[in-house]
Amino acid sequence: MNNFSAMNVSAMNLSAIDWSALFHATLPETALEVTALLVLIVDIAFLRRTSHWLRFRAAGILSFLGILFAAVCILSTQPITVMADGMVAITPAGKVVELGLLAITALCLFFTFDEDFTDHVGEFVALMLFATIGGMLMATTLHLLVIFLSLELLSLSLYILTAFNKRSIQSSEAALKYFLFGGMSAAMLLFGFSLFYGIADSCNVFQIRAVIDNAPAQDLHLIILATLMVVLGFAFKVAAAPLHWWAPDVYQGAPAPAAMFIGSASKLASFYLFWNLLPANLALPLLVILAAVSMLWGNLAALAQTNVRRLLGYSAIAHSGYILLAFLGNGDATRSLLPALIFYILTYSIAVIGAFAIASIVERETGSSDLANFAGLSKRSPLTAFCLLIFVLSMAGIPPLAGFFAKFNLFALFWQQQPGLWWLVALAIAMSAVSLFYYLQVLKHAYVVEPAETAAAPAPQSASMLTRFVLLLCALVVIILGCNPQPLLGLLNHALSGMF
Amino acid sequence: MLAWTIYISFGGALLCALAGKRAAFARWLALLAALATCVVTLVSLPHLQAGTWATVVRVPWLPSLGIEYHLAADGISVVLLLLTGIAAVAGILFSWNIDHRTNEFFAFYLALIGGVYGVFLSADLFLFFVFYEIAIVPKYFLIAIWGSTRREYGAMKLALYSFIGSAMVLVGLIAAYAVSGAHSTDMVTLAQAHYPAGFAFFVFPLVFTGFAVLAGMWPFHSWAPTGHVAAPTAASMLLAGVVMKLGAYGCLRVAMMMLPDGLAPWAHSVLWLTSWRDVFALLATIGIVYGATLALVQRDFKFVIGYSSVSHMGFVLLGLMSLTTVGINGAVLQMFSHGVIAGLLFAVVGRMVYARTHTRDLDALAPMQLARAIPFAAVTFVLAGMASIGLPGFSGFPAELQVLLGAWHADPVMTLCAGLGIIIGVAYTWRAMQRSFFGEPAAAGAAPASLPPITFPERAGAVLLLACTLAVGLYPRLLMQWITPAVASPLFDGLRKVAGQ
Repeated sequence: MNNFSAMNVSAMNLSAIDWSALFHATLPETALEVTALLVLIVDIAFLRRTSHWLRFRAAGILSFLGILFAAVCILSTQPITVMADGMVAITPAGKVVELGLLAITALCLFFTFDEDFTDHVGEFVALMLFATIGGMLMATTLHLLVIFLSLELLSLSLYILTAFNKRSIQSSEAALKYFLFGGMSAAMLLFGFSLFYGIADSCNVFQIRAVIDNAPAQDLHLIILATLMVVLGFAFKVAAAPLHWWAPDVYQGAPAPAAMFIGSASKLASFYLFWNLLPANLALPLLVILAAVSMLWGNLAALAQTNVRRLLGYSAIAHSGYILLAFLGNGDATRSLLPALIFYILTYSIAVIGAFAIASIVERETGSSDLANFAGLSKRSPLTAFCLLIFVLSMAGIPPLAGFFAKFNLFALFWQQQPGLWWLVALAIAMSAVSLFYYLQVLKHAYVVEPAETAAAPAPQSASMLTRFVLLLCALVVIILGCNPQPLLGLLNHALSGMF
Repeated sequence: MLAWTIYISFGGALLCALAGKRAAFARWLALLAALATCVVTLVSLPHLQAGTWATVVRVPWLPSLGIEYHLAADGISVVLLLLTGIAAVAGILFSWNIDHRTNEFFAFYLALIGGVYGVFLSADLFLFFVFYEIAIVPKYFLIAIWGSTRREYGAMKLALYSFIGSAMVLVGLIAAYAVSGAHSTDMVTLAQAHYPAGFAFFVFPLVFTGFAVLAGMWPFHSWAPTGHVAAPTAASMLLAGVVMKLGAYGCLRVAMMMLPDGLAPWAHSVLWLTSWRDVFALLATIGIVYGATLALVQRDFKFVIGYSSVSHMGFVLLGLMSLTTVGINGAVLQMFSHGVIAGLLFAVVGRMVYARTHTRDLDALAPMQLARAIPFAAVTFVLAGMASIGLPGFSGFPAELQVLLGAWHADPVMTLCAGLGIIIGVAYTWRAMQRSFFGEPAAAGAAPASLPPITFPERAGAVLLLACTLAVGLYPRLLMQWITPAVASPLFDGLRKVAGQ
């Protein structure tokens, strides 16, 4: 952060902006936006009367092209560009996050290929892309207004995506809850932002930081209030207890691809944004509480769940608790926790997306994603069951899978930095042991329990070869990243060292 | 070379998983893989020195955290590797009759074996932990899918106990890594690192207990009887034979080698306990007597053996906590001895008796006159029982004798209690033998139950295990030549310093 204030990002007036550079810097987002519009046009104009099969594939493939283009743009932009008072700030870390977001979106889009929950295919895919754009903007700005706008772009897209399954009342209920709570949290966030602006007379995050660090004592209560507001808004976005109420409903009710996206990409963008935004030393006590409560509540509540999607929702709360440890680092050394944070979220994302994809397959075959419906999965399709085993064990943190290493890395670095908060690590590990119970429940049904005699015969294999291939690929990635995390971790360390 | 034990096991597991419905193929493949690991171990014996922890493989794994893929073996590892090989082969022979999801069974089985080999070979604490956890997951499925009485309950209980134990170990591992500042998880480096005063006092019991859960230490033993009873025969054999040894090995190799200062006397005594050594020795002694007493009153044949395992593993922990060379030697020998004997007992109960009579109720078995129906099983059980109660000539005798000798130096009262445990051991073994095999017929002159004859794989497995316990019992030097120099090596200097030798 000091590197940036050293660069003295001064307020510029609009006439000083190099418009062509600005266009170049935002080209990835622009490309995705054009793609989204193209998807809409193609779907509505030409494919309306064709099958879901074709429509989802056409929209998906078009999006892949856009995503690919955006990724190439990101890779080719200058490593560090800051312009327009930090409204656009391209950093190595931000680029990594953007690429991660694109990859996750592509993966989520893959798993729409077998879906048939909606007739508005173009809108659904376009909204996914809009949400991605929101997330990407969050990763490439240091300006409070742009942060808020991009956060809202992401959130609003997600509310609609959640409600997309009009045939399911749960979907609507979840979206309404998500929207109402989300509106409240946005209000709190905006209030916090406005206080920060009032204190620092600037919307640039680094200037605000600089002002806060040297703030006179009488401003302190204002700063604390503003921090509190931002932390609460943040806790909502990442579903940290006690602001997690929406998560289980949304995870259960939303269409599977939307739930995947909320569980992975939205988290990555939000965590990274707040990692930049939060004044760590002030928010520390609050974050400690959030982390501890999330771990406890998420894991304990998940024990009682009978629906796999809902269970994943509670486990997501618990994982937010673990990830929050990365925010509690010690002063400047905090920076070294960022690679651990990104590594954790990326590996968790793969696992959670895969788990949702399998839950969705089970849903289509048997009618619901209750635990009981997983019975006999290993007999029906051994490959899917094996992938589920890998994803679930990775989330549970069993070596040699990626989730274990992500946890170990984060916890070990955290303990080195904050020996005084060792009890948080102990709590996290103890809660991971507790989480084994419900994760094993899922696997027990998939592998051990025979399907009830009364259960209707499941529909024939609803997952296409392609879906199963991608699932297997994801499982292999989880295994390989667990056995040999060094390449990715080295890459992250390299990309994220220095800046931020 | 030794590293191939791990790779062969995992490779075999993968092939078995891919074997589809070809049951016979999976069976033979598993047997071949297990035999191959034995051969690998035997072939590499001449290249190993008992007294040095010689590196087998050492390559950087995660340089940014200082973690290495480091395998090494010394005399203690060798003994346990041999045990793993023997138990693996015997277990496969005794599960020849598995015909439900056969390929999956052997896939999980070999994955478990691979994890166990990995633990016994690891010289890096992170790697050790990775293998340790790999070994837990297959256990759950082995029991939950192929088990019998209350299998899902037993499997879940066992898995949760194991994971809670390993969570304690993980906390200790991260603490040691972070606090030592060594930027390495190499066990020797961590053992030589300087920790702040008081660190070992808190972390040693944490890590020791974490491992001791898996070693069946009272009062954390209750997973063992239920797990053993629920497990299919081969899994019981592995559980008692090698998995409980993982815990004991972890106690010795990680907790005691890395943090010997945790055993130093406290500044104040609490009751009459003056150090963690006293605490754990007391728990071990209670386990010995408690396990034996409960074994005496069980109706279920398998519970008898399950509780006897808790009792015998108590000897291992008592030997370790004697902190004397002879006691630790005895503890390691007892790990081997109990692995073989418990495997044999479970094989008789689970495979030879239960698979034929479909009951393990001692009262129901009594009228069946099993000694006349399946004489081979009866002879095997009598011999295994004699080995279990520690008759000279069987491996249990030199092992428990050394443990008691070592413990006598440390604490005569506890040693006497442990001796009491042996006497109760005679009683419960006798009772189980009498009831199950030599019961009175229901009506005078009734013919013995007609049961399928003992198959060849069963005979082969039983002979293999009996031969091992006899060989070690008659000629203990066979293993002691590996154990003694290893325990005397400089790795355990810290322990000797604490014990004041």
